[in-house]
Amino acid sequence: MISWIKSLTVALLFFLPGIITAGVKPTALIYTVKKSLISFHSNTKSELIKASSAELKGIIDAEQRTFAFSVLMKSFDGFNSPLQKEHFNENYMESDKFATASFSGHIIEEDDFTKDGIYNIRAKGKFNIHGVEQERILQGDLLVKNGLIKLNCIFTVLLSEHDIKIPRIVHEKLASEIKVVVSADFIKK
Amino acid sequence: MKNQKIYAIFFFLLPLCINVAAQQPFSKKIDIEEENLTIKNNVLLKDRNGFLWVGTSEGIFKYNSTIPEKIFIPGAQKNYIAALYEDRDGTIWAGCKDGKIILLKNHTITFLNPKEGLPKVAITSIYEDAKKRLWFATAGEGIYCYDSTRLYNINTADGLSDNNVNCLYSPDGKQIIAGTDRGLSFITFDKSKKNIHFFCSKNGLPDNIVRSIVPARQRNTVWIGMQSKGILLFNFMHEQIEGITMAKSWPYSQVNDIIELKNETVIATEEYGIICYNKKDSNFSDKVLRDTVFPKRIADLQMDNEGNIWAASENKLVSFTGEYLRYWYSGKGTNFTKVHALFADDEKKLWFTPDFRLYESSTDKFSKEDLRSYDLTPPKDHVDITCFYKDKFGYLWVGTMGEGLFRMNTITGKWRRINENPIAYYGNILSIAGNDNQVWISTLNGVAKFNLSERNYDLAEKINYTNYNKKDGLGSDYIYHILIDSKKRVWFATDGAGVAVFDNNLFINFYTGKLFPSKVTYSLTEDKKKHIWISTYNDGLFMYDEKKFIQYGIKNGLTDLAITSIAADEYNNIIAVNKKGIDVFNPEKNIVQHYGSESGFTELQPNLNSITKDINGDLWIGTENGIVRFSSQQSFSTYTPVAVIESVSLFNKPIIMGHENGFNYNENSFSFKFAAAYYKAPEKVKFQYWLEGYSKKWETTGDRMINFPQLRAGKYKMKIRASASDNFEASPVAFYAFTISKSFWTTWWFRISTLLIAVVLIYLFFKQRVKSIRKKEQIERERFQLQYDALKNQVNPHFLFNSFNALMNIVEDNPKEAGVLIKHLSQFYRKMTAYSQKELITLEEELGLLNSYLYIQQKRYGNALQVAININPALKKSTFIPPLVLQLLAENAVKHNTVSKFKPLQINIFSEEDMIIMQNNINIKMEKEESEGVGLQNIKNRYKLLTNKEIVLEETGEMFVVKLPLIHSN
Repeated sequence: MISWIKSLTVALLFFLPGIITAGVKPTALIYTVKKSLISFHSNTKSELIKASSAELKGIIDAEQRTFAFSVLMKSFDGFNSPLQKEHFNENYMESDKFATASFSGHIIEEDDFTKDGIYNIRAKGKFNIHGVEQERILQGDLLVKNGLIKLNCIFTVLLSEHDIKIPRIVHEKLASEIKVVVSADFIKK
Repeated sequence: MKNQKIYAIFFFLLPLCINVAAQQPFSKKIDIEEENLTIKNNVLLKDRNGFLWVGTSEGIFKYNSTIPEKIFIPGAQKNYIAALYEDRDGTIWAGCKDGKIILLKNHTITFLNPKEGLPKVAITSIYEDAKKRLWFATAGEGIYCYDSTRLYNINTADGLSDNNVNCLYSPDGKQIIAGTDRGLSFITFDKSKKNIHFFCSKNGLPDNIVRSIVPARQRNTVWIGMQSKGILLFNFMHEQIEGITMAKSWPYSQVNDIIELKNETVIATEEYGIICYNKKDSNFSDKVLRDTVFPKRIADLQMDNEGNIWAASENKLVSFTGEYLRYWYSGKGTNFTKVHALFADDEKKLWFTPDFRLYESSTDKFSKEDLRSYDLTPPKDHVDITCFYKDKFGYLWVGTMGEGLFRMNTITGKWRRINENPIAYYGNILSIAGNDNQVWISTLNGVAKFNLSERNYDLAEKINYTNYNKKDGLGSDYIYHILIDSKKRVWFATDGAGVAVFDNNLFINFYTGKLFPSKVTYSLTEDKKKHIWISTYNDGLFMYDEKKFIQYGIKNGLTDLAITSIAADEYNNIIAVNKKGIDVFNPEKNIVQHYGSESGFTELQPNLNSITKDINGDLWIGTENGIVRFSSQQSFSTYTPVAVIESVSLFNKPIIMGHENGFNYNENSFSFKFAAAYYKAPEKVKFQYWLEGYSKKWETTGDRMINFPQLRAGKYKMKIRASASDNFEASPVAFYAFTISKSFWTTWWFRISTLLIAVVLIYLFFKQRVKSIRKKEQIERERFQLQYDALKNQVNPHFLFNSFNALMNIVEDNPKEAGVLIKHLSQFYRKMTAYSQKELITLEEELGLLNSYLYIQQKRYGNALQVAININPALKKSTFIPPLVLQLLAENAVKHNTVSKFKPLQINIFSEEDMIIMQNNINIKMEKEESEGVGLQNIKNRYKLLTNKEIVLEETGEMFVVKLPLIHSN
């Protein structure tokens, strides 16, 4: 009897840590944006429209390889003229109606982002601008170092894909493709 | 009855275990690249032209049936090809192990470079859907879909069963079926809407790892090849398993590819080479193709247009003759030799006679496991069986060489030797044929007709017969073959009398020189059109269409004229067996497909009339060294090599074969590379080419390349056709039309304008020449006029009288001065004579002459003539003047004016700029001196002709002024 209890105790001692850890969910490795700059310009030599924002919000789950980003349209500034900003918010983007642009999904590469390193990644997800959602794969570089993540990403947005209508006269001046440059620093939550 | 006792009952049925050679297709190996032994052939593709492409660890090879040729892909990196696909536009897509995607189109090679980036894992399969989107399966990232602008991803997050995708297939182009490591996924993808569901072990799939999905012959089904549980037939409409699962015991390792044939399904395995699933008896056979030729790992399969199956394996391509040709060879310890007779009955039984024995097997599973032996005579005393027939009671008739004729009940094994008819009993039976109650036999002593009656259901009952021979009108007693046709006529292939037919109790012999020139005939058959075909000893084939005999020979593509056996297949082809192999002759298309040594017919030696057609339509042929089964399939049997222009090069540089094929006059050296897929016997393929616009007829070549250097301007059409039988007429023609434009100097407009310009120039030249000649003539004339005038003046008696008067006046007073005057007079005459010959003289010379003249006149007129000459001395030597001009003007002045002391004549001569001006006051004479009035006009003319300048005459009333332009050069 005693020996039975003894062996049970030994067994419990052996397995207890395992049982406990299995029961508790490991804390996710979630990173949030600390500093960011998102800028866009029309993909032409003359840069007919340009603006930038430092108010990108976002998180990356390094373990699950998922992410979510969003930016307020009205946070964009640095246009060529105040009039351009007005047109941007009121006519093109309809910022009152569609306040944010967002991109969320997961990283295709099955790399271990909890480890330090430089990763060239492809992020697949839902890209939403002007209330129109498109599935996109975007390429970017992730630098993971000492609990910090640096993200650099360049991509283009086709105005026609997002139902962004531009008056005919302006259309000729404005490229139908807008180039977007994102750089952001993340810290562990 | 005695004989029966002597032989006792020697028939005994015994399941046999003789060691016969396994069934084999003929196979061959092709080395992809001999030097590189580490090469790994991963994937095979057959393109629209029937050419094979091989994706290997070393890149892409194209095998157009001659030598595998490596496709040069730019870039330093090695391309490990894991997937190959040809889309509907003819672009070949190659997926690499590292995720790269290569496009080959029209001799240009590009790498797919989407904005979304490329997969970082291997591309395992490529498929094009109905919307012309390309789907790429990957090993680890799911599936990508490329719509030519964007690349989309479909993976487990979207509901895909697994991210390791091994194969793709779509029955309708709308729904894609993906074989993954976790079952089948069914995907539709439309405008970012993904619809995915799957079928896996939960639903009854025996193995979750699906390695291959290929089309099946049965409606709405596909074949599924799995990693460890073999193959199965899957209905994609109802999403359920239709047939064969080997869930419990699949011994043949991973399935890599499947091809379904008419009777069999061929399976490529990872470790067991190629295995076959026999659809008729539902058995798998690993012995069929597992030969030393075949490596263990077969990565991929393809069937070429001739019915050969190709397998990619390690560094080789191996092929075998699919199921259209199968052999049962004789080998060590086997006795498929001397197959003198073959007979497939209506019960799927094949009767055949290897090595003087009688065997029976099933036509569906002909193999050593399914073989029964019958002994007709004591085993030690084998008979040579030559022919079979099955009568209406189901009894098998067996004809022998020298041992007569037997009738046998195949169920009980009982038999009786036909002894009632002496020619049958003692004879050598060569052929048996019959219908209903009639059974005809042929021997070396004529023929016999047996009439079966109901009594003959009893094997022991004797049969009534009638014998026929030469005496009855049959041309020869030596009959090789009998055929009863659909009109119930009996045909005989005779030795010596051509072909004979028994119709309405009459023999007709066709051996009358012109109508049927062949003395010895071997074999007879009737085709679907009810034409009778006759094979001959050395004259090829004859076809009888109820009107005449039509002969077919070498010119129709037959390879040998001595044809020992013929048979008609299901598709109206005539299968003619000769010592070189099988000729499949399609009379409609006039095409012969030959299966010879390249297909495995080496040293087989087919036997006379040892051929039979089973109820499946397959032909069985007995030879000295084995049995051949030929499954005629129309697409394969009438396949002929089709010429394809592989590349057109301009100055040895391949050009893109587009629609606009216009070239400049100096782009004129062309070479054409062509090929024709004929994997059976590539060396037999010959080409004919004809460059229209360059030559007038077809040229035959064995080469696969032809050069045309320095073509002249014009319209061209390069036409190429191929044939494996020297019969090109039925071959389709590949062509490439192009034009070389003329150089601009050979165009009509250039030639015409050049001619016009030349004509105009010549015209102008002549015009000018005529003009200058005329001018010269005029100058000449004017000079003569001057000379004439001057001479006239010289001999003008007034001038002389006056001069002499003046001389007289002074000769007494001043003889010295008179001498000077005489000197001037003589000088004047000398100079005038000399200068009048010339066109121009210097101003100085003219002034000298003038001086002499004026001196003479001054001596006459004294102060009444006042002369002042003031000429720039620099001009005197450098400028010229027509001779006697100044003198004439001075003379005119003297002539036309009164010269007196009251009104002295004043002559002023001076230079001004480029002019010499001579002026005199006017004192018109009352009495005009005789004058021709030509002097001044002559001066004018001469100036015009010589200088194009005009002299200026001014008359003011008081003054007469003449302005003479000075001439600066000769």
